[in-house]
Amino acid sequence: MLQKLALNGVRNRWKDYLVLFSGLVISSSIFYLFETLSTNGKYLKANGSVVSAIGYVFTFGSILLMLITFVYINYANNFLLSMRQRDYGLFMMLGARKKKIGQLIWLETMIIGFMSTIMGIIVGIILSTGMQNIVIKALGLTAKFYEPIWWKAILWTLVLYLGLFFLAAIYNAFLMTRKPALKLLKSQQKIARKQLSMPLQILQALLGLVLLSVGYWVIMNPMKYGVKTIPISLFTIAFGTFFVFNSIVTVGISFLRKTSLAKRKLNGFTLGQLEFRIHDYTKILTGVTMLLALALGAITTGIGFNNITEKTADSQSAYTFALFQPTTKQKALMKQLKIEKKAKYAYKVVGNIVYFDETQFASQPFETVKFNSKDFTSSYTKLSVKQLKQNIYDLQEFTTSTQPNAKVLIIDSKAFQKVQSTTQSALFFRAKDTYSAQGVFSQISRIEFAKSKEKDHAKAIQGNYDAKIYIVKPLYAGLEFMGIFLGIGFLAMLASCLMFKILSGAFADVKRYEMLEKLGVRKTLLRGAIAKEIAILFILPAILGVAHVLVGLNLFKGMLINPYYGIWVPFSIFAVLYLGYYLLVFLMYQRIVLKRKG
Amino acid sequence: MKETVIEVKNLKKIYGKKSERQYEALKSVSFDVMNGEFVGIMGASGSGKTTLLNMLATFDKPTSGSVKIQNEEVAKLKGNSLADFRASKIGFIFQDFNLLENLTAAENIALPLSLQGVSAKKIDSIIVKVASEIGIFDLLKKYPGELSGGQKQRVACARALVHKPAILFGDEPTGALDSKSARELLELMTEVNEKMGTSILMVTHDAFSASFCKRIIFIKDGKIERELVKSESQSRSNFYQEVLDLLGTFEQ
Ligand SMILES: Nc1ncnc2c1ncn2[C@@H]1O[C@H](COP(=O)(O)OP(=O)(O)OP(=O)(O)O)[C@@H](O)[C@H]1O
Ligand SMILES: [Mg+2]
Repeated sequence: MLQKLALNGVRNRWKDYLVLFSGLVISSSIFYLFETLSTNGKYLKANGSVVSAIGYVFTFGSILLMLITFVYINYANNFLLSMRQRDYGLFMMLGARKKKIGQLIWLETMIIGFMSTIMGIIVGIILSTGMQNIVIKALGLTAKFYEPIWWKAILWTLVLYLGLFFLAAIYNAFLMTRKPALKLLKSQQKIARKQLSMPLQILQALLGLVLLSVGYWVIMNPMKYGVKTIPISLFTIAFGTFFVFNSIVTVGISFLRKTSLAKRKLNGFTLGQLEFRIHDYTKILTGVTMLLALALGAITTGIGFNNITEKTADSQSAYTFALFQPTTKQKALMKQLKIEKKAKYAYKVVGNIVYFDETQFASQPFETVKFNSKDFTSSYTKLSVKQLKQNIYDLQEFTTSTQPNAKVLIIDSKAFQKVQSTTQSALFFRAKDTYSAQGVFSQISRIEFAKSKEKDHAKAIQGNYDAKIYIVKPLYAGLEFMGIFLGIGFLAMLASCLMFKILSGAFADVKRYEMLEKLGVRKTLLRGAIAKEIAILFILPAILGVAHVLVGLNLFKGMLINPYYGIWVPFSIFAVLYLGYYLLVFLMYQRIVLKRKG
Repeated sequence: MKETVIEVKNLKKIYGKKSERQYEALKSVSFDVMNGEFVGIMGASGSGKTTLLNMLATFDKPTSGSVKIQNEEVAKLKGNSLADFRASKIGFIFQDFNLLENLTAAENIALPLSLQGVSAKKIDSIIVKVASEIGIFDLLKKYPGELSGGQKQRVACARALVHKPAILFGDEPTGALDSKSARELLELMTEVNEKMGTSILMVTHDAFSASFCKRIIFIKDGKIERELVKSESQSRSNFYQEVLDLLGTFEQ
């Protein structure tokens, strides 16, 4: 009988259960995604060798994610309890045995936990496969050794989630059997409003600011702190954020409540809502801020790696290609390119030496490149014959393809005439829009390799654009994949975290908004109040999170040369996603809180 | 000549959709309330008191018939004009107080004024005035969670009156109060009715509460059964006895 009643309760609120369930599925699938990376030692070793910090990033990422999961499940469980307390309280009033109620809630929690975890792993496998394909296709990279189905990840996800749900189930059963029925029935009327005294608030604010400054300072000076940089900064920034939210924001809100602004329309109500909830929210806001910083940081650096692959390849030399004795096929392919600069030089080869006539470098000066790391632009300077002779390596780099281990000699016209060999021609050119022309480049490059006396592919095409991409790309591909992958993962986690916390408050709000409607508040005003309240919960972590990212990017100076280059791209992508997500939560909240009729 | 505040004509309410099982909760009810009256509505449980009040207070729509408040047909109001009408013309005291627990008493009382765009300065002075009249000045800074039931209901009363509504409705306002607090609230309402001239319409099933009214409408099975008017010279306890007697005859 009781089981039937309990099941009926579930059926009546299946929409709310859907929110709960989907949130849990998202959370566990993200955790799975993360674990596919962090428990895959081979992948980390293959891709992380470039950056020794990667290992630390993942260890701390794992710990952080676990903490967040812990908080997250705690919230999800509160959401479940807030839905069920009244029902079970009522059953108890009707005389249901406490033990029976305890068993029921235990079972309910475990079933939800088990099903959502299994679903989460399945979704996680689908996501990681899809993500791998998308990232590979969209960015043309391969993540070596990455496995979407990774048993270690499955195991860890199961252990963590089922473990946490087991604890939650025991806690729920304990709570239900311990609390008197009347308290359960009235649980929603309970209000929390803890106010700290002013000196304590100020102390907290100071502590928060000090911790944040320490964290920022450590990040700005990573050389000084070495491997300790990340743990120190993560710790100080996370706690600093928490204290700032807990003090400055709460004081700010209670200050605003006292101004005349609070007496305009529903402002007072919104501020009251916020003040009552902010202490409850500070933990989640801190978590969201950190997640936001990690997500945005990961995406920014991921895209940064893409930029740098491009730019390092472009900026290695002034010429995209040097073709020795270009074939007609190569010339035809060149027609598809936008050529910016072209130079043709005659040369002769005798034994191990490649001879050039110096007069042609006077009429068509050879160029070198200078890369400006601030704005990622290349500038080119023409070399005089004398300068070229001093910097012969710039030219020699290209000639190895036609003559391995060759020595390059630039001689005067008379001497060149006397060299006993046939005159050959080399074509140097610099193309624009290299990124989109990679397909043509690789065809040209293949023909060049076929002509070459050099057996090693990389050496044969040395100096050419294609070679640089060939060398540079695998170096960064793994990191780029990791960045974008993690960014999306953190973002999804953030999304479901915030959504839960906000929506679980929505149930308590139903009555309040009904009351306001009876007092004669216009629907538009009610909607505006909801929009404002949620907006503040979105904006606060966004402000601090962006600040953290801007400082944190400093860590990548070594790898990315200028990590701030072109950050508007990931920032605007992120802003659009975040905004869309805000609108989604706003609509859902409104659905729960405002009746459509009336 | 006094003007009418509420005009109810042939009011009907049928619950349930056409396809479902229907229940006629109100069967053609008509009556008027004059400006400055204190009217009680009595009746057994399930007789349709709340149904009637909800329609008068614009919380629900009648199936047929008309309700006019200050000559305005309320069933026709929708959306913003409905909200504005509630905000300006109606005050309501609920059985379970319905205060916003995240606002202080003062902020709760200020809400109807804020909605009407009254300036912050003016709001403060009005609140001080109303609160002193109602005797809750000391409670203004407290949150509903820190107030007793009787105190909460006084605050709710202040909130319902602060914007000078055309009529104050109450659905069993004393229902959750002990007898002492109930008496205090009823005395307060009488004072409001007599001194401020506010029209009041209150639903109650308890004869003691009803004895504070000047006129009582009895409903039974969705119809008006009787009306009882307190004469000028009649004392409250005498009227109370009359109500009790009448209820006794109903039960037979
Ligand atoms: N939403 C509804 N749907 C269907 N029937 C309803 C609805 N609300 C009330 N009723 C029915 O209408 C009748 C009148 O209900 P109403 O709530 O007006 O009674 P009441 O006089 O206020 O009773 P009480 O003194 O117990 O509060 C009852 O028989 C009730 O079952
Ligand atoms: Mg009723």
